[in-house]
Amino acid sequence: MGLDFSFMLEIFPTMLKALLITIQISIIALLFGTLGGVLIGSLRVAGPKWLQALIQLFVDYIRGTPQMIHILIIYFALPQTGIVLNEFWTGVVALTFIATGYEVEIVRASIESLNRGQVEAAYSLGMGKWKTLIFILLPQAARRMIPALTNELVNTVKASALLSVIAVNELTKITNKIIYETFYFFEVLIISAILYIIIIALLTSLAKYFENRMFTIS
Amino acid sequence: MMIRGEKMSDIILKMNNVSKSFGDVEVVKDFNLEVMMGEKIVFAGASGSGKTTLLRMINYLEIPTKGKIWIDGDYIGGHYDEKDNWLADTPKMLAEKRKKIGMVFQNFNLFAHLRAVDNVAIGPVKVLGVKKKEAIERAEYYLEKVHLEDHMKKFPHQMSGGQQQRVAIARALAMKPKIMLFDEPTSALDPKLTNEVLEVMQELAQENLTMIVVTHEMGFAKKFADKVIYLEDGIVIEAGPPEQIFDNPNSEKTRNFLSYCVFKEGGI
Repeated sequence: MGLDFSFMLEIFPTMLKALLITIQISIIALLFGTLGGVLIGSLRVAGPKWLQALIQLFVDYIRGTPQMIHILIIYFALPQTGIVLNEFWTGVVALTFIATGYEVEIVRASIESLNRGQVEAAYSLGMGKWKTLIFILLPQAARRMIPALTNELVNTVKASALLSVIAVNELTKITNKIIYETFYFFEVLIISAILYIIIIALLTSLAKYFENRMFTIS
Repeated sequence: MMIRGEKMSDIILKMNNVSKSFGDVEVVKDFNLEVMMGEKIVFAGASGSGKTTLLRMINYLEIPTKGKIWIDGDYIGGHYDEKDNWLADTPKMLAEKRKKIGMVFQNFNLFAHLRAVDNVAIGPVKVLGVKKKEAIERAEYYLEKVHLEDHMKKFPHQMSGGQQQRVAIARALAMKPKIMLFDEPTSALDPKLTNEVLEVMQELAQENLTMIVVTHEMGFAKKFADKVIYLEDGIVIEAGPPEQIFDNPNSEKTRNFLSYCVFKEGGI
């Protein structure tokens, strides 16, 4: 199998541009997802019982159905509700939705893994549920969340590939496009795979760096 | 009977017919107690006698199945409205009432992400609304009181169990509670560290602080307590001053329990 290196060099800038879109979508979705995960996860732990049940339903729905289905639902449903977004932001909404579902579980598990005694200690000082959550539990849970969030970051980057079906010009979509136009399968797929590996390795080590810093108690 | 809501002159805690069941098991049966301001009470008894449950009910970490507990002007966990109907406390009211009650736990339960000084200061800042600088000064004062002036900047995991428990005592004291509850404060500690903590408690006893202690340290109870309450299976077998309980018990059951206890001579 001979590879056409000059072709690879030629398409590289186009693919790099697509990668940039992949990164942008993934990071924005993960930021919103984390924000949503912490807020909704907190309600999942400390909110009223009916709300907890509702949130669990949402989590079960996200976990129980394929990501492709969510993406298509958002793509077709959003315009119906009067919200018209371009492909990029539709993709962000879809990935945020998915990430939030998983992160609610991450936040809940991190909070519940902390020992119950600290909660009683906080109550005995006269703190209520929310003060206990905000000042005692969340700061400690945040440290425990990071490994799982790193995992979720990797999942989000890979899930972004599915956005090719709704015509977001991210890496997978551009990969497909070039293949269909030129039939250089291997050249394009190899670059694509390598770019994914590099970006995931980069983001993972960045997360690792933060994790270590947060665990290091001066 | 006491008049509801009215402050009794010297009584700070009243427990009226308090019972607690877990499923079919009744761990506390019709318990009654009146505690005077500044009084030191010890709950003694074997494991499973209901003494810890009793203590935890005082700040409503355990909810009584029956009976009422009155602390310094208020019932805990509920209140009467103008029409004399009994209403459960909202979480906010409960938190408000808990400010008056300090609690020290068997497993210390320090906040793992905070230094000693912040463990003590966080209650005054977040609950009482004390200014941060003032709260830190207050924390330093109470940490000195429990002889931890050299450990203020340490995190819980950098301290011994005895030091952690003393931070926990300072943390409770910094709220300036009316009454302090100690739930087997030395059960997780070796004899040397136990001594450290008991000495601090003995020093606190010199002040006019109301203290209720659940402990297996009978030598300490003998020196410390104004009143010892000996429980078995959720029932008070005998209650009285330590001289009576330890030197001249009325009940065969008390005598039997004491025969298993080790009293250290000298020190605490």
